[in-house]
Amino acid sequence: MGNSRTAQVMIKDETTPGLIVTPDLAIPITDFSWAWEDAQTESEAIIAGRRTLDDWQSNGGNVAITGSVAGEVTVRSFGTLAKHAGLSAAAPVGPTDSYYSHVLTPGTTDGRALTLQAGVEDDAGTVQPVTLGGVKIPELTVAWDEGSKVNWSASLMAQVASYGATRTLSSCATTDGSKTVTVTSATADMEGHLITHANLPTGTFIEEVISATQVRVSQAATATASSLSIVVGKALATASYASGLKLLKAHNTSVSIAGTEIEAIGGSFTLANPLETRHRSGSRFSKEIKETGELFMVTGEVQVEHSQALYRRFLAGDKFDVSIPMVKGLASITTAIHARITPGAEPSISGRARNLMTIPFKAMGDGSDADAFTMTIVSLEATI
Amino acid sequence: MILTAPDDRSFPNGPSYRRGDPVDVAELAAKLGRADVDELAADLLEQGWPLRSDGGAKPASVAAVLASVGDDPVAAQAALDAEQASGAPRKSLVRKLEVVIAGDPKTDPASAGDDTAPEGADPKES
Repeated sequence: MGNSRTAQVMIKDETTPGLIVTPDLAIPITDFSWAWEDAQTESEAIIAGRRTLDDWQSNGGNVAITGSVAGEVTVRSFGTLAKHAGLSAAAPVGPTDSYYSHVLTPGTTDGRALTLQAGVEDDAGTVQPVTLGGVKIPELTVAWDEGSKVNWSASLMAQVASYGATRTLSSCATTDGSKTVTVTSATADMEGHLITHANLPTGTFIEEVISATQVRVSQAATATASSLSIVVGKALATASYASGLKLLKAHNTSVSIAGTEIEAIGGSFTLANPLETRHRSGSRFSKEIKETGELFMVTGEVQVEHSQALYRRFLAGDKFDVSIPMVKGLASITTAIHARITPGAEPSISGRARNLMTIPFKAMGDGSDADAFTMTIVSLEATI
Repeated sequence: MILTAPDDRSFPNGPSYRRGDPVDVAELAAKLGRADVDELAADLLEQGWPLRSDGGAKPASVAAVLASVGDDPVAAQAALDAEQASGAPRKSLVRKLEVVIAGDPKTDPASAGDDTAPEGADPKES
């Protein structure tokens, strides 16, 4: 029976989006899921006397690979996730006392992607790898209660995926400059899977299983040879975690109006970076996933006690600032958001509890994107 | 096989290493309860854990590294990572690379000399 205690998720930045690399850093998670959607294309032709489609009347369509992963913000690794959620990091400052300061502001994710590999135990007790390539994060949500740990969740979009234990195909042949590889015993489920040999560039995957003895791969072979053993799939990487992991907690979160701070009780925000798959060139698998061109949005809500000043701010349509510091020792992540209150902030009465306001907000820059949203990460990581 | 820890790392139910520590893969496999030592070694090599050199190969000089890096903070970071993973990082090189990464030449410690250069580094190099 599958057991979540053996689960793992590892990540690594890719050099070229979609070319899977071996993940090298495990991150603590609370949740992971993924989905492989095969948009089957189906015939609309009429067959005399038939009330249902015949099985030949469908064909594999474009593949959309999505997923989600969630965890808790620690002193390591969160910046890497944020970087793939529509933020760009300036060159780090430091180190000061071994800590580096990274400033992230809204920016393009073009040319950047992650390999994310999960290990999920199956019913036989074997941890099976699920390796997603060309991963980007269209939505990243952070939620907190003042004084408590901070939770995050990210939705994922990927170009390709390899599932399950690796398989070795023998008696294979490659031809220099050709994307057709002769193999033995190829099966249709290998489409989208990594295919590895010294004669194939790193990150090559199977675009199409033409037959049991021929596959079309994503990158042309670099040499001609036969009698080769070729590996299909990606093995589960041995998990190691960054040392010194510690939970961050929300600390002194506040809403600021004209320099006056109102203490916050809790809240959440979501970075939404609209992305789309790009199916081109006869492949069922997307080229680099890119932004749709829609606005990068930061929305969220903050819980505060009923504040007349704040509600008048909403009525006046004025802007305000939200500061969300998360700390542990010298490590910290501080988010500064300039926002307007969106409708729904009306103070209310609920039983005998203190009267609260939940303030929905939407970030808006005062002259720059950085003014709308800036995240400053102080960590031991020289690179994020 | 002896590898070098690329960063401060901890294995679940296993040992922890500091960046640059030597990692005896056979010992690590034993502590993790794994019999597949070669497979573990291949996996870690693929993850970027460098094979530990016996000191036979002389590292590039400080001057050569700085010349190749120029004022590119990304290249400087890569060079810094490699130097710190070497097991015997040269302090003078580390400090100068950190200046390039910070992008602030006013804090260039070059004038302070290379008196802090450690293990095997040539303090005359700059």
